[in-house]
Amino acid sequence: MSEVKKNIIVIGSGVGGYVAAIRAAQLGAKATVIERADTLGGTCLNRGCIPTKALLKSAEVLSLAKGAETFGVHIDKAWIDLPLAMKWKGATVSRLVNGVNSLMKKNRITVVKGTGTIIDPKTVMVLESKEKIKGDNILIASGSKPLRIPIKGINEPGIMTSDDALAMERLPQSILIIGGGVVGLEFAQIFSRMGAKVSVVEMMPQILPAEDAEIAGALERALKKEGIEIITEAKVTGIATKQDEKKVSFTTKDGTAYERIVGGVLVAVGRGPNTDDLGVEKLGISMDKGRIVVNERMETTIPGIYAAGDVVGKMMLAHVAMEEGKCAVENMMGLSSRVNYQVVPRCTYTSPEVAAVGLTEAEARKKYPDVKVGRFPFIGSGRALTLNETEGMVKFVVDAKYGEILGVHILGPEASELIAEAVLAMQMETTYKDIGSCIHAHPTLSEAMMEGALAVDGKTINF
Amino acid sequence: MATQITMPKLGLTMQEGTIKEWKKKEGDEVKKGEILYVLETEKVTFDVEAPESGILGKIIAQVNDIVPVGGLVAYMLQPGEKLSDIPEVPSGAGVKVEAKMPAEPVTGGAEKITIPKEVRISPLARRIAEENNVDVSTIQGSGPDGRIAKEDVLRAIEERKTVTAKPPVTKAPEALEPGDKIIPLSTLRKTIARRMVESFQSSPHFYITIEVDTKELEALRQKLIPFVEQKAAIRLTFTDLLVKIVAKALEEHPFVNASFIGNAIKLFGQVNVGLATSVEEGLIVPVIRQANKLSLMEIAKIRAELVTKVRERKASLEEITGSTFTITNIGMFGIITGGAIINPPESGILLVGSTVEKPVVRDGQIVIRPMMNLTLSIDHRVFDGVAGARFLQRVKELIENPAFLIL
Repeated sequence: MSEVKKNIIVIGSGVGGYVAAIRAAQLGAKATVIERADTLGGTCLNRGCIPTKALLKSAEVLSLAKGAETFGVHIDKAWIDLPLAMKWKGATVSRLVNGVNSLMKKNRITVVKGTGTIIDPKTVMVLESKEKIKGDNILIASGSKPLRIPIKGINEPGIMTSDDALAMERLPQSILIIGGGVVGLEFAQIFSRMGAKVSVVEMMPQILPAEDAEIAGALERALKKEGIEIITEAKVTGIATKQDEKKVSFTTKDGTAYERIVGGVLVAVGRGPNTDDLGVEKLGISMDKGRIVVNERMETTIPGIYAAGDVVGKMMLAHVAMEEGKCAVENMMGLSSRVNYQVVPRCTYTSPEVAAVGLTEAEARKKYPDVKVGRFPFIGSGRALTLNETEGMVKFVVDAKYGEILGVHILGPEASELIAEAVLAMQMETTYKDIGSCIHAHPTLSEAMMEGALAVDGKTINF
Repeated sequence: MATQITMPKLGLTMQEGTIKEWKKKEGDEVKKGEILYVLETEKVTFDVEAPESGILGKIIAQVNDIVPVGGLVAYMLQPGEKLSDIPEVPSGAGVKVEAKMPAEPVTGGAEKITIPKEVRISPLARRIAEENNVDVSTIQGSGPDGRIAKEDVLRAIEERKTVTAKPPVTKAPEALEPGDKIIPLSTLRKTIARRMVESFQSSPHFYITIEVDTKELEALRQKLIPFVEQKAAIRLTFTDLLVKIVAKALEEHPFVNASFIGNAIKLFGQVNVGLATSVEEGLIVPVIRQANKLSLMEIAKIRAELVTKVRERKASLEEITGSTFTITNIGMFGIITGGAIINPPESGILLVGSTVEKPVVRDGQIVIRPMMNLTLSIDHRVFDGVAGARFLQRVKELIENPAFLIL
């Protein structure tokens, strides 16, 4: 084996940390990953992306079974067996965690169990064992944790964060979700499809506040059609716990006060960086609102120490964390890397799904003088019809002058898969006309991408 | 009769504006107060509202047209009026609408550039290059394997615009050594560059320096600091006192507060003192209007407010244009003297150096005194050395005898 070029210590084995460790190994470094949880993989694998997607699948299967007659299939009885669904979720997570374990072995990465505290820019101590690990560089990839907002009664037992919801044993009959972002909405659908009465309270004027208003509005209508109550521009003012019931009070923008009596409350107001026990304050690493400050090389203000992922909080997305982790170790290894934050897909796995990349229409109109928009509704897609999933649309936002694709927004079946074409197009700087002129297989959902691009010039065929 | 929409005057020095975007189309119904179009001046972009309700009848100035102040931009129609009610656009009748000069092609030729297939370039970058006649063979690509991306072409276009050489010579591409970096110009940087070239090329500068003793003025300042702090919660600066003094001297020496306007000299009716203030990308000159009529306290208040606004880039166009004389103070960096470039259309700028303790002779004795250099840059077309010297002498007198200020 070739000689070790550098020793790199990675704190945290989430998608920011473990991907960075593998990349470091590829570049000839010896990587050591310190993880305090029992399993590798961090939030994404254990408490985030993966388990929620597994439960969404359970909810989807139930929903399909209940509506099976549409497809000419009779299913006598379909019901949710929550412990079994949780088992399915747990098995999915385990398989993936085991996969990470074997990737660590394959890349000869040392995994140390414990809490890492940085003593100096070359030393990390494991709090539990007091073992000191020396390295040339340190990568902080300690992730994030669910935020709790200061509301009266929020610390009462039974008020869940996403972590708790993923471990629940009994489905509440009704639940109020504080926060209509990605996490809140995915759980809303899990709970709703499994049979709970769900209310979502969002502070901003639209659900998915960062997304295109038209898309968010269409999703809101779709979710309401499923029976989910959504209240926007509302602020939760207090939660009163009485035995098994919780009385949630909130006020809408016009000052009207509301109350809902529910069996459960889920707080999904976002996540905050996790810097517990890292020793960052002691080292004097610059922080901004709890986030570790890094430059575009992902270096902190202390030479030799880098940070990546949710703990730097630029975009709290798993795929951004992976890219930042890779960027950090590549720079440690003498390459010159940057993360392109302009072209990052964003996905919400509700049904219909939401996926987007680039600017929303409103953002584009602020930045560019002449913006054109093309829309293609899935009702015009043969494939969507055969799937009986015709809700939603593909929306292209382009610069009229040069045809640059400024943003693509999808609401509809498999949106999270379809968006990849737009990501590639934007990264490669193709114009929307290039997408319109590519042959797309028929019948596929991806035809909607072609049609959306053609729609910019009013040349869509099937609508 | 159709109503004329004309280019507004947003600031004292505004002469023309560029139409950036039409928010309404011809034939659109427009309510009073709705945004008609966006205009851009050298320093700000501004949403122009409809002066009355009606129908946008005809757009005269298209996007990117430069229109002089008062020039015709569009016609509004009232219900019942027809397009035919709009008069033919008179030509040369004080309504000048000129299109922006297209950027000079690098090759100087008029034919369209076609980019060979084998060039590594993104489709978007190719389209931008072709439409702007950019020769991409000179561009260093920033993408994977040197692929030319949008940003690379846009940068090339920007660089080309700044080349002001009169005969359209073929400009050799900037040779890039490893480690060299090309930094595209910000709008502010571009404005500074253009105005400084304009000033230095059109007005013959010359410089005179005077040395002043700041002991008395500093003593006065120390006395006033607690008072001003208590009254207005502002720390009185040396610059505040200097503004007061310079404004008074300008009032007495109108030729220093003047402008060369081609066939005449314009003496400004107001004494508006500009303070060169550095911001991240360059320099902005906030203006203390009619400084000669303000108390020291008022000057300090306005100065504090303006400088904060400018640093936060929140100053309005009105607050950063229209100075008639500029003070630039770089003494805090230990600079003892230098020659500043006049901020057009003014005819003088005062550079303030740092105060240094020096041995000087007073009544035949060598004593230590805090000494400071003031350098006046003069537009020699407007006034001569003697007039400048008299002005500086007066400033010196007031600095060394601040009691004269109350006379």
